[in-house]
Order: sequence, then C-alpha cells, then structure tokens
Amino acid sequence: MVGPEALPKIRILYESGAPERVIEFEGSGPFHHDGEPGSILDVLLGHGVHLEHACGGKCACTTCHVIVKEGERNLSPSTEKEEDELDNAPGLTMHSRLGCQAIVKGDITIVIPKYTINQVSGGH
Amino acid sequence: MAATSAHEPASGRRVYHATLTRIHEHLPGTRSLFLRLPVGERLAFTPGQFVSCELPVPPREHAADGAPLARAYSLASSPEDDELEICVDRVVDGPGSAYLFGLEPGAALAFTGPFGSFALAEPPDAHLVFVGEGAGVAPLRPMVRRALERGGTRPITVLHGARYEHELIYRRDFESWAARHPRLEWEPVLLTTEAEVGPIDALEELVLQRFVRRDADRTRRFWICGVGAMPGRLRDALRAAGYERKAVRAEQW
Repeated sequence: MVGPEALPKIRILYESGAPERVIEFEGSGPFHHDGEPGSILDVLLGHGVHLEHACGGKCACTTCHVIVKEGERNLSPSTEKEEDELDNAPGLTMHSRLGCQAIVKGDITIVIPKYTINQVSGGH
Repeated sequence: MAATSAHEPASGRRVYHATLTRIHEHLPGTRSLFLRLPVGERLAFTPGQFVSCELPVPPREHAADGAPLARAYSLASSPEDDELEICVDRVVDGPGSAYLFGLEPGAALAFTGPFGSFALAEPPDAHLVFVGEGAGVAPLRPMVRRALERGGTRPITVLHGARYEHELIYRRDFESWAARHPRLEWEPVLLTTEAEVGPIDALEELVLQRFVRRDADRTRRFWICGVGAMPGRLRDALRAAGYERKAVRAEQW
C-alpha cells in the first residue's frame, strides 16, 4: 500500500489527443458512488474527470473501457463478470480493463480510447 | 453510430429525446414507462439490450462537469413495437429511480443507447433457458418473443422467481405465448413458507437440479437476470458444471 506521503496517482491519457490529466487521491472511496468503491470510474468521477458509464457503473456495458499503460499490478484482479463484459469491448487489448470494476491501489497510467460503440452487431 | 442529435455528450453518442406516453404500475415498486420517439425516429436494438437514461438529477458532490446521471434501464419491449418500454424498479435512496417514479405522462426523457451484450439477436439451435428474478424478467421478455417469432422446434424454458404470485410481472404475456407455442414452458418459482429460502435460492436450486444433475446434456443456452448475487453465482455454477462460457450469459442489476 501507499503511505500518506505518496498518494496513489492516476495519469489519464486520451486517444483523442485531449490534454492529459493527473489525479492524486486519498482513501479508498466511494468518491462518487458509481462503479465499485475506489474503482477507476469512482475516483475519476469523484475528482471531476468524466468517464462514460452508460450502465451506471454496474459492469453491464463497456463504455468505461480503459487501457492500462502502466501499473497494472496496482489494480484489483479482474473478475469473471468483468472478463465476460470486456469480451465485447471494441478495441480490446491485453491491457484492457473496465473502469467501473478495476480498483486502484497505487499509481497507474491509463488511456481512454476514442469514441467506441457498444452495440451487439447482427441485430436490427 | 453517427452523432446527429443537437445535444451531444462528451462521447459523441447520439442522444434520443423521447416523450413518456403512459405508465403501467406492475407493483408498488415496479413500473413500466412507455416512451415514444419523435415521428420518423426509431431505436434499432437487439432484444435484451438497455438504454442509458440521462437524468437531470442535481449533481452530487464532486460530480464531473455537472454531467447528467446515467442510469441503465432494460427495454422490455421488442424492436418491432411502436413504443419503447423500460421497466424500472424503485431503488431505496436511488436518485435515478426516484426521478423516474416522479415523472408524469408528457414528460421528456433523454437517453443514449442501445447498450449491452446481454441480448439475443438470432436464437441458436439449442434448448434456450431464461432465468429471471423479479423485474429481471423484463429484458428476457423481448428475447423470448424473438425466439418464438423466429420459429424452430427446440424447447424454450422461462423460469421466473418471485416472492409472491402477484409479483410475477408479465405473467399474462408468458402464459398466452405458452398456450400458443407448446415448446415454450413458463414456470413460476415462488417463495415457500420456508422463510429462510428466498426465491433466489429456490431458482438456483431448480436450475441446477434440472439442467445439471438430471442429465449430461450441456448444449443448452442460458440467459440469467436478476438483482444481487444470484446471476453471477448461477453463471459460475453452470460453467463449473460443464456448460461453455459463451453458453451462459448473466446480467446482474
């Protein structure tokens, strides 16, 4: 764990080219009450940084998909439920996580993918 | 999806602006809201998907940029229907459901979507098993309709768990479909007088007894939806029993 003199830091990069953001935070949440307490989504929203979460942070869509560039070990391991949902994420990578499920335990750097759709193909 | 709406969220997703036409109260804490889109607009979706309502609820402390509250509601209607139907459970201290329960016909409601992979586009050639707990049966309804409309001979089983008989929402629909389609079996699973055994346990037990212990057939396909831990537990149990990962879909509310 991280001591009080070195708060966990989330560095947020945008595939869209928007300027990066850095959040330092204290405690384990909930910060905003969307997503798992202390999750990437919870921390970002609680610090005024927008991250889509169409399902309300319930692990039922992939709009909070992020790609972890650094610090994967500083996130809670993914669950079966998260893996199931991630399977459907457009632009899935080996370092993909759902922001609403991955709980932040130390420094991480994430990339927010550009606009992604989250629809089941082959429908109407 | 092209961003064609006047109002565009940060994501660039299209925002639909619907009008609430009527309300159907299934139960004191569960209602359906029927929504109509402007003339000429239609929402293309796959049975089982949900929409994300953008609710103008006062922003909570530290809310991001005053963004509207995003809350997901399953579509209980079918893509062919003229109106969209969302089924809403009132959540204690839930700002989203409190807002929706306060709306009257004529109110405007904005949403994005459709979203979600808990859906059924084309029924696979297999025995389809739908397990719904409480209002969790709502997204299963258009899936069952789709499966019936596409024809076929494989059995379709719907197990609906509820505490009391009057809580079996959409019962009339399922009963009338079952009367017309002998391959559809709709079965309510009620809480018995054994106070400790809730509908969740009874549902899980029934599914495992019938589709795991009774035979070695592992070709069935499952869609499981409900509140709380049941869908995840049942999904894990079915997969552990030999059903393929992709054969078992679960959605937890």
